[in-house]
Amino acid sequence: MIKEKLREQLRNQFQISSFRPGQEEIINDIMNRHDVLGILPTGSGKSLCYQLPATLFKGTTIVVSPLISLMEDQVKQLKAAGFKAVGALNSFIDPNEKKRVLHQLSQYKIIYLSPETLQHADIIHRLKQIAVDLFVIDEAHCISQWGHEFRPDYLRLEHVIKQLNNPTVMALSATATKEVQNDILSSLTRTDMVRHIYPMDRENIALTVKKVKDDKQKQEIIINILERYRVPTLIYFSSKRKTEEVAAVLSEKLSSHRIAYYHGGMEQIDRIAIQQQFMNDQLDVICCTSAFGMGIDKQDIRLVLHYHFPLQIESYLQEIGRAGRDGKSSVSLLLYTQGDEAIPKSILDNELPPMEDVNKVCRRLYQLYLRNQQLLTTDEVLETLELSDIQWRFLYYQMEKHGMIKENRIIFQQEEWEQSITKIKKFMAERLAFKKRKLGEIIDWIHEDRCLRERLYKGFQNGYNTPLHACCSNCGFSFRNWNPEQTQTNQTISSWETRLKELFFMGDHSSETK
Amino acid sequence: MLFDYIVLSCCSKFKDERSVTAVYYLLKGKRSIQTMQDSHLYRLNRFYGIYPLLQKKDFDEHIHTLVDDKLLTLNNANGAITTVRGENLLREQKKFVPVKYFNGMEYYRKAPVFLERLLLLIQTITNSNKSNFQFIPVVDKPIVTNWVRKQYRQMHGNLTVYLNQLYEELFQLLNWFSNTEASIFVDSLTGYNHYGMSNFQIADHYGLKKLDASLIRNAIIHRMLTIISMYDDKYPLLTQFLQDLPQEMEITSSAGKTKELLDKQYSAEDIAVIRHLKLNTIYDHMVEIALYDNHFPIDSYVTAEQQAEIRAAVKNISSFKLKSIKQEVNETISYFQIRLVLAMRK
Repeated sequence: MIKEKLREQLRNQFQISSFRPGQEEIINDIMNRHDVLGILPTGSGKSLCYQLPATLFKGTTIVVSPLISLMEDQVKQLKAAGFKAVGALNSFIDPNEKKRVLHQLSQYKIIYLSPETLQHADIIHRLKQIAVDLFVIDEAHCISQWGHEFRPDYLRLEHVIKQLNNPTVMALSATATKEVQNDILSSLTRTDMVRHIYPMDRENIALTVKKVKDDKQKQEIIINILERYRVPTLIYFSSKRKTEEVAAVLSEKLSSHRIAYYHGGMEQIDRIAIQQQFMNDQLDVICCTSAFGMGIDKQDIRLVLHYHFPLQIESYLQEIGRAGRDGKSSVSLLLYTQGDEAIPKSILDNELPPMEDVNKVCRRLYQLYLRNQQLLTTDEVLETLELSDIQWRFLYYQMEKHGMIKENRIIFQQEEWEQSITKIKKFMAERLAFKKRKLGEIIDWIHEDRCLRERLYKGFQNGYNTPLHACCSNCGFSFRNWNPEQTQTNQTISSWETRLKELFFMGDHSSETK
Repeated sequence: MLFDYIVLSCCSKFKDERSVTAVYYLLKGKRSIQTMQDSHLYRLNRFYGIYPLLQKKDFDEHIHTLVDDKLLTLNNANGAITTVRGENLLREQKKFVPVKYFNGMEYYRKAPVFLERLLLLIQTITNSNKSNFQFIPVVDKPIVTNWVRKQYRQMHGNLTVYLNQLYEELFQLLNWFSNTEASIFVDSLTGYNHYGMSNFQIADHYGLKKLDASLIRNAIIHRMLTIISMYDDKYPLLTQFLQDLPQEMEITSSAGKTKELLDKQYSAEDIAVIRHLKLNTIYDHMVEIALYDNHFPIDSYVTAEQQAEIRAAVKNISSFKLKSIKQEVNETISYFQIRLVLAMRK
């Protein structure tokens, strides 16, 4: 009976004729008020799992999302589909808009929020006044991947859920090992969530690794491949500078290709331009950092290269998962040269404040506090204590957790401080060891001699589907046998006058402009 | 080349009286009293804030290149002096670089808003013209989107007329520019099924250095604003883009609070106590106020004789270096008094 109701809603509200694997089971559990952990591959319709229940519940559904662009894409898509009772609250929204949304909160069926926004007292206050039926954590692996260091507010979600009178909880992700799944459950203190885990292996992507002798050879190989294939391509790097450098080299060597770079340090207007040019097939190749990709939904990315390898297998899976969403044969290639380990190792070392500095930083902070009677602003802290933004956020959360900071004021008690600092340092050592272990996993995978596919998915699921095309570089993949459809373009060079006319559709009015 | 030219110009004006960092702050448009006062004193208002996103790393690299090329030498205090070669370069290239386009102090905040409004409006009307309402906007700052939304509502129904008129005005406006400049500008526009080039792409396409590409784009906007303001009757639509722009140059809010208290006749010492701030901070505020308020009661702080003495000293040593001026005048005159006199001088 309830099944019939769900299908009817699916047809009426979403114009979809049938559920995809996993959706119906998850929705059923949610409607029966069971907490759910859903691990579904990208492109399998994860969002529907909460959007459909949201339309049926009387109250509101809250969706915690890690990225503003992701939230906005979701809101835009829902509104375009005619579902208007949806809104977003994040730090970029202007105060008037925020006021308006907060005022009409009860009229929204779905509200997207960042974990940081959920820490604002005024927002929690308003949310407590309305009925929240469902609390969704999208991209829930962020709890485990980011929560412990840069985005501690992910770890505060448990408290938020309690404040909201314990609504049904749904955590969704496309990439979560068993270990991450457990981490999510324990951080939410909901160990009896129903787990719906679906295989996430991508049978249309060939997994390849190539070991080369140096940087120069990496570039030669990329040039060789791109000379043969003009297909939508992403190349991932660990450093912003390197994306620019290699993009310049490639543009010079591959004059017929349209190449750009993308990283988080660029102006927003340039980032949108590059992203949309790529979506719009105005670009062939993007040299990017991990900042590119979340929330973009291009179906025909054929080639994902890794110039540098990421810090953990989860990130690697997310990045290669952007290839071949249309199901057609696609390739991922990771280029490795001896010594590449140094980059991720130094990233890990800089994420946390240096161990030997923790005491010093706490002492300096206390002295500054004595002088100013107030906690410094973030900018002042970063400058005087020579910490990075990430390092300070970590330390701030830890100090808060141990009662050294309360409501932006320092609470000083000599003995307790000493104990807390020891605890913080112990925790830092544990986190660092954990991250080094994750890094070790991906390095081991790169050096695997047997099937790369088997090894890659091992930590995530039992077994995997037979690959549709080639399997991996250890199972005999060769570019010679790969013949994807190539991008066709007709580039013509015209004067600015002509281009301006085309832009404004003035084609036939040329005689009038003089 | 444009970037180097501008840096050399600034160093040439500063002589060795300011460090190279002062040039960096000037180009970035730092809202500090020192930077704004430098800009006025050394007649560098043209360049104030013309490169808000300049990175310190890029700037330092360029300074080193200029030193390596023997166009600039650095002294111990990190002050920069242009060499004979540097001065020659400034003379020789004068007619080839569009430095005259810049009007930084006037437009440093207006230029980005004008450009973003124009980009988003063009994207909106060209897409609407093709009945495509699902494009990803190139700018999504509320201050810009709200304005574009308002314009769009007003023109609704007359979309084609508006499109033609805007095309016509842009076409006329671009004829004031060289072919390359016009071409760079058109390449950065976004329309229907077409996204404009980013800075890197412009630099790459036109064989420019990245820093120059940014500056040239900004130079074009500054000149456009100058032309539009001069001939507002010829550019009625573009003139509308200049309405409700953010106000230029207000004093910082903290200095504003100090001004309120000054107006109530509190002394600088009282204000320091009331606001829990250092006396020197209050002095900074007062210099800032003096810089923008021609009616600042300077006589209450510096006697007419002292003012004359300070002015004479500046003339005598032909320098704005505080330390040198201080040595020239009676020792009862403070740095604060010297700074006030310089601020009023403009």
